[in-house]
Amino acid sequence: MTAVTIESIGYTITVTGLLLITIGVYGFAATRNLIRMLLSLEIVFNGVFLVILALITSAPSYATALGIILISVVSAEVAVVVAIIAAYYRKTGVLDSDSAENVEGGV
Amino acid sequence: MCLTRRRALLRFLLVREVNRRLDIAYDYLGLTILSAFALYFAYLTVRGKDLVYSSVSLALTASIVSLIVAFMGYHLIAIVQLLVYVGAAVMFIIVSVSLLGAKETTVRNEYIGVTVALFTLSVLGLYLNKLYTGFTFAKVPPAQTISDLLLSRYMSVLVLIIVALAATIIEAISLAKR
Repeated sequence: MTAVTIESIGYTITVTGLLLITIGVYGFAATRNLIRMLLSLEIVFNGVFLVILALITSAPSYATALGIILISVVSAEVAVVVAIIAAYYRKTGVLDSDSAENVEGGV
Repeated sequence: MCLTRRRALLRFLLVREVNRRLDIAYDYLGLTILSAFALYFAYLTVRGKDLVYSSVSLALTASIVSLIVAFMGYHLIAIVQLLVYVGAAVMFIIVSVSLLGAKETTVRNEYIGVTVALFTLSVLGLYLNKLYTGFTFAKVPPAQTISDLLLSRYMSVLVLIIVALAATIIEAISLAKR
């Protein structure tokens, strides 16, 4: 039986982040629904966030500052994208990204 | 007398080592359970039948990720993630999706999704294997240190974020009013 070490904890966190990224990429590539694509991108963000924090545990002050900046930027991005999707849905009545190029006059 | 003292010292060291290993084992068990839940809710986010339930699953995933972040020692980031990301950004998604009332009608392309995901997993796996150098629990820096760092070294970044967030609010309001 292998003993559980602190390295196992690091590996588990990194692998969890990696699997979250994979699930998010799968969701983004498999669907054409704009909201589903946004949700998948948020899953990718959570995975990247975990991996970055697991990789830089030796500099916790900088990691904390970076984490706060990342969360702020992603929150702003979410607000903009949701507003654009809402305007697009109101104009076209669909959430399909394939029909976006047929919209006249933009969103 | 000397032999008794040596035995007591050995017993003390043994008990301490056993306790340390038990602590790590319990931590590992808790982390594994949290990771399994995070992956399960992430899967529900991507594959859920209803968009509102998928958004709620995203909120649960982000909450569990913030728990893992707190477990790593970054308590401040975990609090910010729960308050700002889950409490504001993801809730904004949930409310918007609920109010839009849109149904998902598009067909999935599983083949492309699985291919791209496997490619990403293999490339990132190889890359992270080289990047990974080791793991330690983060020593929690006091909030004063972080605020000093943000207000001195990262001041320009902070100003940019403030401007971006203000622009976001104005843009979201103007788009929602149309």
